[in-house]
Amino acid sequence: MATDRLQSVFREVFDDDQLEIRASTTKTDIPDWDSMADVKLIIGLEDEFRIKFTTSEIGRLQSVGDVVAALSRRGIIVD
Amino acid sequence: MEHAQQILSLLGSVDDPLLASLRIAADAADGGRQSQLLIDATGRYGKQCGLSAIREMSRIVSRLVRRYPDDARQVLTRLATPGDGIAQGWSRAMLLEAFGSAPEALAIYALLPDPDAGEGRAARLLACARTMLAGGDRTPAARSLREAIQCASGFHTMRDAAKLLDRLDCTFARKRAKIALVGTTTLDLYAPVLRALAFAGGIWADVFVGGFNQYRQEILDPRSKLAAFAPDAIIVAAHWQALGLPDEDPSPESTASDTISTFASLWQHCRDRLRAFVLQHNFEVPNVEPYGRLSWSLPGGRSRLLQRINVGLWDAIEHESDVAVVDVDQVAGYYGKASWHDPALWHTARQYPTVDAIPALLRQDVAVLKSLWGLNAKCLVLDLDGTLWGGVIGEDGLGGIELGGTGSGEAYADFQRYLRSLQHRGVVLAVCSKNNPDDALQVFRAHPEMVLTEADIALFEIGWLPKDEGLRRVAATLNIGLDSIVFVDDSPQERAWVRQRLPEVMVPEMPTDPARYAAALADGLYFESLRVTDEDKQRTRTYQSNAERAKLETSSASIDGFLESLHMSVDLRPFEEIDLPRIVQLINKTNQFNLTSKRRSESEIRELMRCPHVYSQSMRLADRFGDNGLTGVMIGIEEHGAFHIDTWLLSCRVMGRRVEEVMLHSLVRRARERQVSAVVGDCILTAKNAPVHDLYDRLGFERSEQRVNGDRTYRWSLAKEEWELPSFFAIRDFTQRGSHVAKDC
Repeated sequence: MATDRLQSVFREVFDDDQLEIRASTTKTDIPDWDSMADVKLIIGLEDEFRIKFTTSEIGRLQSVGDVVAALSRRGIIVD
Repeated sequence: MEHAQQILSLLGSVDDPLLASLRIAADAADGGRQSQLLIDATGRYGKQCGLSAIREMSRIVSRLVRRYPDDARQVLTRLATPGDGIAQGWSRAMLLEAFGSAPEALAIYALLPDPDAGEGRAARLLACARTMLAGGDRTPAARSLREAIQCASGFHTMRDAAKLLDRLDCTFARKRAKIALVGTTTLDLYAPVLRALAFAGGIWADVFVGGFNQYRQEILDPRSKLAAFAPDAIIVAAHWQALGLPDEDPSPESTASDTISTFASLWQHCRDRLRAFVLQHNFEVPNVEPYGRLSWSLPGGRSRLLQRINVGLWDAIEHESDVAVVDVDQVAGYYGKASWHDPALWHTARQYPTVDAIPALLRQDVAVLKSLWGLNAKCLVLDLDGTLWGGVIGEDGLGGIELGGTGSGEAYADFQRYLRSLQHRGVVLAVCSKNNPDDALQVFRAHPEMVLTEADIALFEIGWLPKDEGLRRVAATLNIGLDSIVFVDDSPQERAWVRQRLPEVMVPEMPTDPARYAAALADGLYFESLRVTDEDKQRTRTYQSNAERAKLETSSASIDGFLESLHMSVDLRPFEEIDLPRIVQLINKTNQFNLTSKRRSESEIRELMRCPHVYSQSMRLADRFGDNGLTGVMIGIEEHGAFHIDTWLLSCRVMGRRVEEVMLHSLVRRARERQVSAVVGDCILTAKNAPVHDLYDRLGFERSEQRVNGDRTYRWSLAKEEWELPSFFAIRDFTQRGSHVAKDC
């Protein structure tokens, strides 16, 4: 399921097997979510979902909600 | 669910039906459905299995095991009877690994075929390494890991490989080094790739990542974190945009020289204060230029200026022994500039080049470091049939093999030309072939289109033994390690055999088309070199000489006869500046033929050279097989009316030739001239210098003092006659008065 795949990307990026993200999770909820994590998230998401983010999207991924929205724009539904 | 299964059954005509059906499986709503679709997909379309499918399977399996472990176990049970599907093999292995049965998983991974020779092979080898580590077998894991990294080219593979390094340590590498990454871009993602590539090259790297665009401060500030890190090497990853060049520069020459001087002064700091070797990245000339071709045709155009700077950097390092340039423009061109740069990542994260290009870039840096630290391959061992010519000489005969002319014959000749050029710049070539020696050598001797000659090959191992045996012999005869050998063979079976039997030997994957052999070999960056020396150009002859000498030694009638037949010539000189590095090396490393084992630093030796009462002698020995170079050192100190032999040593390469008598003879001559009464020498016993414990006794010295620990002092009174020098040396002695020039006095 897309949800599982999204979870696994976040777990990989933040190196935390127990991490549980929700639709409401934002940058401030995860202390290690810095600009380096931004880059790793982009790369991980692009690799997992076989998509390419646009420059404006990359700059605006501040929360899980933003990621979900970007995915749904590409027909990938996460609940 | 029925929909999903229906769709699955219709995928047969799609390009990669396995991958497509796995994606359907991945999106299924729950564990039960996912596992069923996984079994269906791998069962139906799993006869072959490509890399993308493997990756998709890996994701499915790890999620399944985590979220729906019972369903995962079900799958494992259902896949327990091995079908003929490779995909099911992979799934089984992945499930076994995820459930902790590492040895069983390894047994499967080890025998699965590689999806491809590059990333696919790397993925399989990484799986082997992982499961070996899980089982505590670090040595084979390190080997698999090394091989995996050598086949890999993608960022993710490198990153996964670097994670496995955390479970190994520096004992699995040949050299430990601290490498710093500084520059004008985000460098964090370089670090795992650098560690992985370095490990594959034999280097255990501790990596420092500099701050964004902090490289100047970090290099110049003595209290910077970089300075505290005390790197052995610094990679200056500069980037063309950071230069801030305009579209058209009004004074391109001065801009170029200013830019180069700025970097040169940074190099100076790196060399003098930080004592680190610098790898300077040069500048990509970008594809996208608003001025288009004007960027080149105008003297101040940016492309032309960047090119000018790049050429200037090569010129600037010509006399810098501690700086190397890594040609980013060249690598980017080869990679493809269109994909080298990702503008989106650049704008948002200052990431350059694109993540997947990082391995291609850092491979060049690691190639430089390998050359710097002597970790390069030394010898290229070649097969004959199908590699140097088409066909089989033993069956097709001289007229039947493909060599020269047009078509594939020409391709083989071209490959030989490439090899000959390698040989010219210092790479040693050897042959290991399953053939009748006469048949094979006939081609070298009689085929008009042969480019390589017998003289180009240091050693021929031609016979019917398995190739790993031949390679062992090559290593033994040339006295090099197996890990210095690169083995090229057109036969996939021979390559697999050697890889399995001799994992230290590097075996590049060869394409089937000989026209592409040179590129495949070049791609390995096995023989990258910082400079060519005359020694390099002589190397094949040196190795041939060693090989011939080894043969001769076993067949001579008597020792003296053998020594006579060598036609040796000896050169004796006082210590000279240009020989210092070698002299220092000998003084500090020689153990066997070393009378006093006195170790000194370069500055201490320079001190000695300045003293008028010190006699210094460096000895060079050549024979009919070649020049052995500077292989002997003697230091005599005049004090209290006698000449003391402070240091007397020989490289083990030239022991047993009686050349030490020539050295002593010269020192005694000098002593006579100085009109001292005696020559005195100590013999300090060590565990390693047994060969010289009774040297002075044999030469007729008298023991003037014997100490309890075995050490003794000998004396030769100059009233005695000199003994006779052996006749078989041609001697040139520059150490006597008149020819001795005291430097820096």
